[in-house]
Amino acid sequence: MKNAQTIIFILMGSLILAACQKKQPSRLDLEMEKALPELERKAGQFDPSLAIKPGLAHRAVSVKQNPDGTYQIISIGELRKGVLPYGIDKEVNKKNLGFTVRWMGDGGKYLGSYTIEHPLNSRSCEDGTSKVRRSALNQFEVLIPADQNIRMIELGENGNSFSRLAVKIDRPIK
Amino acid sequence: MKKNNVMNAVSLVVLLLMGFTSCKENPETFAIHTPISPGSSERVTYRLNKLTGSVDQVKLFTRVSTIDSSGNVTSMGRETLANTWNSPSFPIELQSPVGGYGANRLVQYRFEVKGNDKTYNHRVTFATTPYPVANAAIPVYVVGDQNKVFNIVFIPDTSMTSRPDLFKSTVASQIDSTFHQEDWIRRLRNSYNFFINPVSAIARDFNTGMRHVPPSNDANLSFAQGRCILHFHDIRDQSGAGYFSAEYYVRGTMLHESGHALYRLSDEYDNSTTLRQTDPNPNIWDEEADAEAAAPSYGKSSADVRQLGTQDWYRLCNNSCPMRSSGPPINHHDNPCKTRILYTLLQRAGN
Repeated sequence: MKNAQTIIFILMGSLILAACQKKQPSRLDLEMEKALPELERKAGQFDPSLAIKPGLAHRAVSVKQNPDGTYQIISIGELRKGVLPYGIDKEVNKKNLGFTVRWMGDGGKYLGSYTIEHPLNSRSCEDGTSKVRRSALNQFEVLIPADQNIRMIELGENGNSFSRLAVKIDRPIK
Repeated sequence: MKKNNVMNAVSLVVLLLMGFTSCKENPETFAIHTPISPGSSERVTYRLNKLTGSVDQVKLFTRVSTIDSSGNVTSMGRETLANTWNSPSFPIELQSPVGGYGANRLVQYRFEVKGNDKTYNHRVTFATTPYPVANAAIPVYVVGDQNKVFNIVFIPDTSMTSRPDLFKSTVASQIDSTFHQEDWIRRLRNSYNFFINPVSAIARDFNTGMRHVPPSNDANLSFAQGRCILHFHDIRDQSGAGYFSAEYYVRGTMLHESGHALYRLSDEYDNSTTLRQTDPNPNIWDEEADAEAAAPSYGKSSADVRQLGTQDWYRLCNNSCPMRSSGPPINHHDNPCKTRILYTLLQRAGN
């Protein structure tokens, strides 16, 4: 009798445990639980001021694509408020496909890069289909950090077959 | 023996409670105000909605500051308690005093929520209009430093300029009924700033072969990850040069396009021609073996790997993933997209 009670208890316990395990948070839920306080702590305060602060700015570079596919700089724009809107790769990421902007310092030292859809592309996703068209325009702008150490930028497409179409900036960007 | 059984039972109960309490927020609430971009003399209604859990008490605080034409805060208001609700029933609403907040004001409100032995806050800031900072995006629902969170600017198409009230209510419902309705993004609500642009743009139909015409203050918007032109037309929407367009009423398109713009998620359509693997934490893979290898880390198995049509691309998200659909309805992100979203937000916060 006592053994039967023990067996029933163990069986019920196992069932509860099984149900409980189904409700256990997933790895992703645990990551979220950990991330939320960090994100809230780092979110800071909204700043309405137009003032451009050191290290918290970017600028646009107007670029022309030549018929042979190479690029040339048309102009370098004024500073704009805010850090680059893109996630920056701290090291060369060859696998990302798309249009990559890299910036280098003295001696071609890699400083950072990001990859986006080509600025001349238009893309449309509707009705379960997606289409892409390259604009007939040949001018566009790319954004770079407001970093005075930048000496050169490189523009290219499609990850592993990164085309080394270097665009040299003759003067430091200030 | 009996003592051991009791101990086992206690352990099981503790595990059970942990299981039920750890997976979801409890309580889970979200805040909104209307009008989303109030005029200087308009009253504002603050609302707190509850999705789940029990709430014991809610307090609403407001702070009104003054800014000048350069956006500098010239007078920082004091935070004052507007109301307290004990054992509240939802939604909670409170209207601001008659007469509005005046011109050149930034208003911050904070819902302090107590329940389930914890306390948390919803802190939201908006500006009254006209906004004194010329040609700047107007903050309508901002929660943090522009450099640390994602920024989404809603731009009226010229078809919306004659419908300013519709445009504003659309923006409010995009925040409340799109971003706050998607389960994963709602939990990350403290990572998204929303703005309205004071200058219109022109949304063009992809099938015409023409590109969108950006607003004249384009240079002032390059801080934003998402720049969305809301329109009143029935066109084939497109994205390009940092702008995407959407009919004012659609929800799924907003989630889909913000998936591209904010997190660089790839399409998951079978016949997409713009597929790309964005590392780290991609949502599609160019090698089936890589998708299979990644599956366990997303709580999936190799049996969940799906080929995108006949292309050599593979996905793990379920069929209703927002990156596999667009248009009016809202679907919820699956684990690969969730992982990428969380990664990009943490990367942004770590700037």
